[in-house]
This record gives sequence, structure tokens and C-alpha cells, in this order.
Amino acid sequence: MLEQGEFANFKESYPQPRVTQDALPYWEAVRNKKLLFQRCPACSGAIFPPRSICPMCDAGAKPAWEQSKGAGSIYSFSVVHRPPSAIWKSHAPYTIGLVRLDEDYFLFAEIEGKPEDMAVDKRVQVNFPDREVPLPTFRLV
Amino acid sequence: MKKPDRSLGRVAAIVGMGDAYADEQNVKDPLQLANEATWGAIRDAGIKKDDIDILLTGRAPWADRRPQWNNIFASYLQLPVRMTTELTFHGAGVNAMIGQAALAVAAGVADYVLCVQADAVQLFIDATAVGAATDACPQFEFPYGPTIPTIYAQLACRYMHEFDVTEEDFAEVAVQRQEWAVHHPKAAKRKHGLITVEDVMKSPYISSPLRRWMCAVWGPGGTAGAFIVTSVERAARAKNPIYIHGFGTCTTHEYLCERINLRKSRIPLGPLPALTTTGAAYAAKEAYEMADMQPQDMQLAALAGNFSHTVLVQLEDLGFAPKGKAMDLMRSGRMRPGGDFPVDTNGGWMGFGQPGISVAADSLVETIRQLRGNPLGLKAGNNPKVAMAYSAGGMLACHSAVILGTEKS
Ligand SMILES: [Zn+2]
Repeated sequence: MLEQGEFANFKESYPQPRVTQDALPYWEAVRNKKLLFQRCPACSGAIFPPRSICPMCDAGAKPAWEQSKGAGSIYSFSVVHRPPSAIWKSHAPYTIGLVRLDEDYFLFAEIEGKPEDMAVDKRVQVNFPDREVPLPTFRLV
Repeated sequence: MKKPDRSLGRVAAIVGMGDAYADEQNVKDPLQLANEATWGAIRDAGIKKDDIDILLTGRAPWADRRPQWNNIFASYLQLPVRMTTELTFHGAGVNAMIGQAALAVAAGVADYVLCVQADAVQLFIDATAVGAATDACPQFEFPYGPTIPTIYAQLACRYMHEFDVTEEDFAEVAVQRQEWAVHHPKAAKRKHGLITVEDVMKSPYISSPLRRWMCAVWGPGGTAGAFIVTSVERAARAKNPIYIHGFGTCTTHEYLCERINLRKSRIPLGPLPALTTTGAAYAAKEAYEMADMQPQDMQLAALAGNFSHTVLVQLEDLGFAPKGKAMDLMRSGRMRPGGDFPVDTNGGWMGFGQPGISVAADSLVETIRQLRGNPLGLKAGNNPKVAMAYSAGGMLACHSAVILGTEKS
């Protein structure tokens, strides 16, 4: 009866991001240890997650890709003590938070460092650790 | 934004309600639960199955995720209908159904609308694993290994940071939910008995700052709620009608990474970017306006507090406390057993538990049972005549509120 569909396999291996067409340049950059985001040529707003048309204004403009400096601060965080499945257990406890990038957009990401060192507003810098599934993370500065 | 016609708060009533329960000793799947609740509602309404013109369900149960579950259930009932659909409002679907049913009745396209929600997560699936995989963004969140508590904890972190709320405050919320839950025969946490703030603070972190006792549990095994909505004219012939005074819904996003990057919204969410005001405020405002009532007119409320901090945020967004001040209301004792404003009288989502997406149906069942004076657990001490049932779904995403009462307005 149970249909877990595409979610069925992650218990035995780290999940791959379900990449959308809009985000292909983002993931290509991640493989080269670079962090990209989009900006609207009409309203100048920083756009994330990636889009094919800016949703923040009525211009209907095609966003342009920019490289982020990868610097930001912790907006919120949580230390995961009970992970979603067995594959994560050896990694726990690990911290996941919302990071506000200096270009004024937010990423939901892992923040590397000791749980007791985490605090709102602390500065962080993007990192690209060598892992089975390449993902941008952040490190306390 | 177009406002709903206020007369919609005077057109429809719930005339039938049925509930069903399962556990490890008495295993039932969502179809069986929905069936049992539906027949209970049909009998309660005093109608025949074939009087039903429209069938609404919530999204497919987690324990039976077949697409078109509403259609599967319609054929299980051998119930050809004019119209059937799922309201995929996450868990908030059931309250939204009541609103849509009232609209159908008002438009004259249905005499009777059946609204059903069932689930049985604990009996059939690994909810911790599936939950995160369902509700986290599969591209920008889930690869980092969050659970549902991890996603909700981002709001908990901000709520503590912005309003000087502490983990001990969160513990007090759990203590008060448990005070009701211990009296409810179906509550998942009933077996643990009463708890103290110290007990909560000694429980391990699930995802900080949320400790085990600050989280809803996946249980009881399974539940269902079924509700039959008809016109106020037909309701006059029913034996125990509950009038729909107002309803309001809204949805603001799907994934948290989208919500935090939202910079403007025609649904008021306070200054953005922020997380601490949710769409609950707008859904409730619509319901109050339709009912021509104020928050202080509510004599009972059922929230959708799956974690301590969401209880507090909802009390504020629904207008029962100023922003950041819900702990003052919590400490006043008004919402405890014996208080003059009973809230979450089945123990709420934290104490009663989350059997799956039917959790909001459980809150609606509890609200109707209290208004009719026949709760399964502890009776509200103030004989409530008007109540709000609020439901949330997804990661702070979907919101629905209904105002119900025993008297025709
Ligand atoms: Zn723009």
C-alpha cells in the first residue's frame, strides 16, 4: 500500500538534490566550488531559489546569474540530534540553519562547527567540503 | 484582495460528525477509518448515503499515498457523486473543506457535502524518514539531512531570539497540553501521565531547541473524522447542528527556503523577511470578519500546535495574544482545565498526537464534541457555545480557520 516513490532510497545513501532546470547553473558552479545566485535586472532583487522569470516585481524580467562572496550571518539554526534516517546517524549532531548572505538572500544549509558555538547573527563563510554529494555548507568565521 | 461575502457565515451547518480510531491492538487502514467515520457521520446527520452530492477529502493519507485517494474512497463507498476532489492543504485540508462545502451549499450545487480525512501513519510507515523527505525542499533542503522538527526549529530559534522566550517557556506549553491529554482515552501521550517543566527539560533534544516533550508524537495509531455540511434550512431539521459562522484560508509557500526569501506578500505577514508571523493571522481575520466576531468572542479553541513554539505563534496570529506575548496568556492559566478559555482540550497536536494528516480532523472532531457537550476526554468547564478550530499544514505554509457555534446567527 505504501508508495514512497522517489523517497525510497535515501535511507541507504545520501540523497541527491532533485535538480530543477532553473538551477542547473547553480549546481554546475557548486561542483566548481562556487556559489551562484540570481538578480533581477529590473528590480535588482536577489532571487533564490532560482527562477526563469523574476517573481519579485512585475517586469517579467529574466534573472541574471551572479557569483556570491559566500559571506553571511546566521539567521536561525537548529542542531539535529535525531536525524531523518540511518545514513545520517554517524554525522549527528550537525547544525542546519538559515544563513543570510551579504547579497541579501537566504540559504538553508549545514553550518559546520561545534553546536555550542552556534548563535544567531554569528558570521559564516561558504565552504565546499569533499563529500559524496557536493553541497555548499557554511563555516563559522 | 477580494473579501468573501460576509453572508457566507450564515448559510451552512455541520449536521453530521463521525470519528474513528485505530491502534496496534485494533489495526485499521485509512480507508477503513474513513469508512467508519463516514457511516458515523451519515447516521448522525440522519441522511442516506445517496443524499451526498459532493465528496471532499484532504490530500492522500501518508499511510496510503495513492493519487486520487478521494476517488478511491468514493468508489469504496460505491458513491457516484457530482463532484469530488482532494484539498491539498497539507494537514489543514479538513478545515478548508468545511469552507469549500459551505460555498457549494451557498451556491446551491449541493444539498449535502461529505468532508473526510483519515490517516494511520504509526501503523504503516516510518514517519520520521518519510516526513522529512516529503516536507523539505528536495533540492535545497533535504540533501542536508533535516527532519520536520529541524525545519520548524528555525522558527523556534527566531521566536526565542526576537521575543526573549526560553526553553523553559516551551516546556510550560508541553505541561499544559499534557494536562488535557491525560484525560483523553485516545491521546497518544495519555499513558505518560502528568509532567513537569523539569521532565520536559530533561528530555533529549530532537532538533534544538526542541526537546522530545516539545514535539508532537506520531500517534495515536490511526484516526479519521467525517463531517456532513448542509444548508442552515436543512440543519433546522437536524438533531444537533453546529453552525458555520465563518471560515478563512490562505497559503503562503511550500518550502521554508521559499518562505524566508519572500520579500513582499499581499497576505500580511509583518515586515519581511521574517518567520514569526504566519498566514494564520489572515485566515483567522477572514473568519472573524465573516462571523462578525472578535477573538475575545471565542469560548474555546483548537490549535495546530505540533511543537511548543507553534502553539505560541498561533495564539498570537489568531488574535488571542499580542505578538511575542503568548506566554503571558499561557501562564494566566485561562487555557488549562477549569479555565475560562479552554484551548486544545484533547491535548492538542502535542498531547493527543499526530496520527498523520488526519490530525486536523481530530481537532475539528474535538471542537464539535465540546460544543455538543460530549467530548471523549475532559469536558470544557465553561459550556462553550462558540469556538475556533484552526489548522496548519506544511512547513508554516497552509492555514485554515473555522468558527463554529451551537446557535444560528
Ligand atoms: Zn524583479
